[in-house]
Amino acid sequence: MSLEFQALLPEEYLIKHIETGTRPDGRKLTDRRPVSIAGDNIKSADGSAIVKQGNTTVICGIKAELAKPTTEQPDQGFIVPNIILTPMCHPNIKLGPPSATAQELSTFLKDVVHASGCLNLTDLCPVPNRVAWVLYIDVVCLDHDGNLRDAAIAALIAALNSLRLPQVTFDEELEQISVSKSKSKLKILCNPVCCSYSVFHLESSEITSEENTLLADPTYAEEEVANSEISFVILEKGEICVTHQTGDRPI
Amino acid sequence: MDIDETNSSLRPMFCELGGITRADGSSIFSCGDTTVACAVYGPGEVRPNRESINKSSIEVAYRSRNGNSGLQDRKRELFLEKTCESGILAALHPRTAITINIQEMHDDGGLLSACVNSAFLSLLDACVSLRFLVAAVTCAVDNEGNLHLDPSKKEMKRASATLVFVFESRSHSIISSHTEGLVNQLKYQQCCAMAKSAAAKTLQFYRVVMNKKFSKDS
Repeated sequence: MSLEFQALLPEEYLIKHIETGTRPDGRKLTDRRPVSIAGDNIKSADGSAIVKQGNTTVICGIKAELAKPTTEQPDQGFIVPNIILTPMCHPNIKLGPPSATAQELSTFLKDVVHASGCLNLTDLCPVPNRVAWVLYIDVVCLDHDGNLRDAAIAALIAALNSLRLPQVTFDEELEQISVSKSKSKLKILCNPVCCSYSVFHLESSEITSEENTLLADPTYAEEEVANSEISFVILEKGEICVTHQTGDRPI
Repeated sequence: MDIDETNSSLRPMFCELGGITRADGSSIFSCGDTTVACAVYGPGEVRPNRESINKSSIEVAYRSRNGNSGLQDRKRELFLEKTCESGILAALHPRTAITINIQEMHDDGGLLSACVNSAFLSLLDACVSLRFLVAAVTCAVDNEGNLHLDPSKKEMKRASATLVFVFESRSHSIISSHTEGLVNQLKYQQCCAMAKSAAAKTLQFYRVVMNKKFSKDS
């Protein structure tokens, strides 16, 4: 009976749950799903991590390549984050070029890396003017059950923490690049964490006196039906580095 | 001696409605030197893959001045799409599309908020039914912790954080926001409060523009 109700009237189904203070999967409104993060599992990548947040599963792999730095910033390396929503992760995702949401998520990842200052781009440039690292960060979503932002940021930061880069030297006379066999970890200055919420606008609520109800760590079904979404990326000391809010109703 | 160099005034705004004659509604909006042109077509023909049976599909196309299309442009398009969707009464026009085309003419800081303002002015010019009006404001926090309202490009480059807030006209609460850079919670609240009062001035400017449109002199 409840499955039919959810299929025919998903919004009503969710609102009936929220009014009693719980959600369809049994969590309270502010409960997050348990997260498990495992780093350094993909040996063919220079850095990797797998994050499982409830059913949402995201893998991040980092490949490092060498390139010549730009003349405007001769002592800085490059970071190229990219999120890929595979057709296997959700029936609504089709094969083809990245959708607008995927592209927006990729820019979100780039903004977080730059705004949080977790990486010093000069650390990625072993020989200024000659040689710089390019980190191709690929975040692949294997299972999309909502809240990709949090999972993607967690995977990205975990993969950066597991990244090992060899030493690079440049011989000026012979114009040769030599790469050492030994690898060392990259210095990560801080670990940003993302918290996303779905906002529901209820006419009256017994639980909260405000009109807007926030659901922490929304699932796909909750995200689809939500009026708005809001995300905060926060550093350890409590500083806010990226916020993102869009949606139907004002907060 | 600490001098609080908080710059809390908006740059002078200018708007011309109806400049693009073929469009249903258009505006050329500038805030200081930042200038954005926007044309709205709609509600009109929609591509079958974007057709929605119960509401109009809002499509935003943003083009930057140098023409190279990148991910930043897609991000702006999506932000504008979501903000406009919240303000437009799309349910009145099912199985149609409302297309909003934005062309950046000059970027001297505060581009995203200029795009939002210009889009809503164009929607007003096109007489699309709106739920409310919005006013978008940009704030920057520099390294010394001073707040700058409506920063220029120079100020934005030097800033440690830039915040864009979009306020709606009825309850003056936030519809959308986007922050980049490090800011602690106290500064965030301060920026929010400063932006709120600036948004009220922007909404008054909308009134002036609309009065001019319907006055007998023009």
